[in-house]
Amino acid sequence: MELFSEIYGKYYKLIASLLTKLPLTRQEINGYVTKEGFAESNLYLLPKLLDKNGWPLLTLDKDKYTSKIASKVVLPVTILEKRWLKAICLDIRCAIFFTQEERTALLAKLADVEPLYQQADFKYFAQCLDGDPFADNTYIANFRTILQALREKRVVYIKFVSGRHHSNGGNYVPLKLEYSTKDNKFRIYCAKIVHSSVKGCYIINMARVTAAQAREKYAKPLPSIASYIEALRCKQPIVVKVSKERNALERFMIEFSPYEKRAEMDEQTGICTVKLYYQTMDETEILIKLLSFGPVIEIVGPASFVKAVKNRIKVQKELLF
Amino acid sequence: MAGYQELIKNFAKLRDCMRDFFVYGFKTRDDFKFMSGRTYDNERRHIENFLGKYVRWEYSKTGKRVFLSFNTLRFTQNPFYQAYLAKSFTGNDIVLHFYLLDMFSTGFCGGADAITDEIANRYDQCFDAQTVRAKLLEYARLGILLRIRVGRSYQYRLQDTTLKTLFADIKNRDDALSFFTEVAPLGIIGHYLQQGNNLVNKSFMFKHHFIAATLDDEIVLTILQAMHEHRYLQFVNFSERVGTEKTFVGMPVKILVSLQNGRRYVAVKHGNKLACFRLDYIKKAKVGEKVSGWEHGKAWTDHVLKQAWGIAHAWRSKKEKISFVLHIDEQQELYVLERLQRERRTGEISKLADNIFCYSATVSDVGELLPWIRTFIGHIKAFNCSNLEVQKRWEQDLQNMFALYGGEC
Repeated sequence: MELFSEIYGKYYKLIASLLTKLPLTRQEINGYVTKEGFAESNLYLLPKLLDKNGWPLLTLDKDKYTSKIASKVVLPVTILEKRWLKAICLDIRCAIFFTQEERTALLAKLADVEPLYQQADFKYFAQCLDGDPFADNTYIANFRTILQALREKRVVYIKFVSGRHHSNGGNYVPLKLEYSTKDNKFRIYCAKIVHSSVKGCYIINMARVTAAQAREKYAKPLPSIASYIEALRCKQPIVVKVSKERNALERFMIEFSPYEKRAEMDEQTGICTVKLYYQTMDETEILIKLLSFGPVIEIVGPASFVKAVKNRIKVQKELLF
Repeated sequence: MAGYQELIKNFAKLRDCMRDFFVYGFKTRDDFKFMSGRTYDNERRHIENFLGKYVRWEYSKTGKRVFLSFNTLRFTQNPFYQAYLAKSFTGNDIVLHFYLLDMFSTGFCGGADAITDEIANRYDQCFDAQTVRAKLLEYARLGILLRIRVGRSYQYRLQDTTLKTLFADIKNRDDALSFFTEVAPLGIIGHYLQQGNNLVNKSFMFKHHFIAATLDDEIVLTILQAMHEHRYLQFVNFSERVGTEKTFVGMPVKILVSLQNGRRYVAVKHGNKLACFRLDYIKKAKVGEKVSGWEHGKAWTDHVLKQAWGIAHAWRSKKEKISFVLHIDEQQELYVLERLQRERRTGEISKLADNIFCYSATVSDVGELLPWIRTFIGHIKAFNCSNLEVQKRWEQDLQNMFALYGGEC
């Protein structure tokens, strides 16, 4: 079973879709390949597609190309894909999307294949023990209501318990659901609606939602999630000097790979200076992650962040001596 | 020597280069010592071609640094999946693909010879019967075609399962696919399904998302095959420390994933020992001979792994004890106690007095806990472990941190 196969590739997909759009001129095909292909596909795909000695899939009729393929080409679901689908059907998190009846029906249709993997094939380390209750009926119902509201741009009344254990409630339009495998939790990025207007963006933990009721569709424009994320981006990056001691450089780079960063190596000292960009709401998480590296890294900026680190170290010193 | 081509035959070189551009980002052309300058240029061009908008470059004293930089929270889809869409093929491959699917989708059914003739009739193209037969067999193996025995020969017809027929009346299908494509093992397969059905993720974004892991998915697939068929895994491992490649053979028992740093390993039993190999260091892997006594070996390794706190030393059977005492203000810092609870893994927490808590664990290597314990700096009142070397390292590290940050604000 091949994972890296041309049948799933960009060219096959692009051509299958192009064939349904013919007849087109050379220029129109060029435009389509530019839009749907890789950056250089015009250079490599067009000659094969359009030239006389290329692939015999198109016919030139006056100035337009027509297809030699009469029907709409649909690739069936392959065995590899079926096996993967069966594996995700057996994942506990699948319950939040599909009802038991839907899962049973799907598994019956996939009865002729073995799951590509089983949960027992993997062992996950460092996953939080208080992950979302994916098998809980109230959680599932709330999740589905919120997911549907997100798709339909609908207001949903959400009742939830805050991080400080206070009960809250209000009207929100969900913008995105964020999931962390490490935390094993969903969080709802949503716009708060007061008197039919957006009153800021909020983040609510899905597991803290105690009730969710879908209401009317929200017709006005909503804030863009991209601008919300951009607004939460730090003003100044954290600057860290990372040594090669105890393989710290590699460990650091891999651990912080999900973050935007700039790195420059000083070959003479073997010290790498890394500028780390992060979401301001994650500052404490980043701080403790950096502390976990101990003395093999040195946090050198910005001043406010270094001050927070020094403060922790000072408190630690006082606790021990 | 052949020039640059947009599509690629072998994923391995691109895999190494992509990871280096993304994870490290400080390397210049000269730092890629394991490949020639020409190969580097080709791979860099592939990366620019597939991931153009994410490629950055800067000049430093040592030269031009090309790197990939992004905040993974902004993605709705793993950008590295693009590389999997670039497999090269021959002219015959693509032409036969469209001819066959076109013919079969009109309900055509026949043997290899009849199909070869039909292609000549319909499309005015002559193919060698062997070439057509090989393609039919390949597509039957992939599950695209059904191969039915009729008398002494085989007939082929289109397999008619589509995403639509599988998920008839299931309304959360698209969201489920979007979600599992990013979080499930071998999510690239979900991406293939999304691509083939023009689906895009509109609902989710992902935090702590180690997207480069997908570059090892071909290795993962081979490991899973070996595990499910109870066979040995034969693989070439690159040792970063020594800088050489070495071939190993062993019984693969589990894939270990660290959600802290995104590294993935395969746990391999070899004789009476268990070893863990990082997937990004495995260059090639293939399925080997059948393992005798699989169940016995699996039960033993499951037992060893059950007691592991982390991956690096999961294979050790010896046990060490560790404990530390924390000062946590129960009124003001309840969130610290909650974090201790959810991150404790196999350890136990006990309350010694008001605002004083003790964490204790018995693990295979206490040294593995040190990074996590350091995240509680500012709360630690005492630290003890049965490994004197680790005890000493903890104390020395703390002294070095005091020296580094002065302990003053």
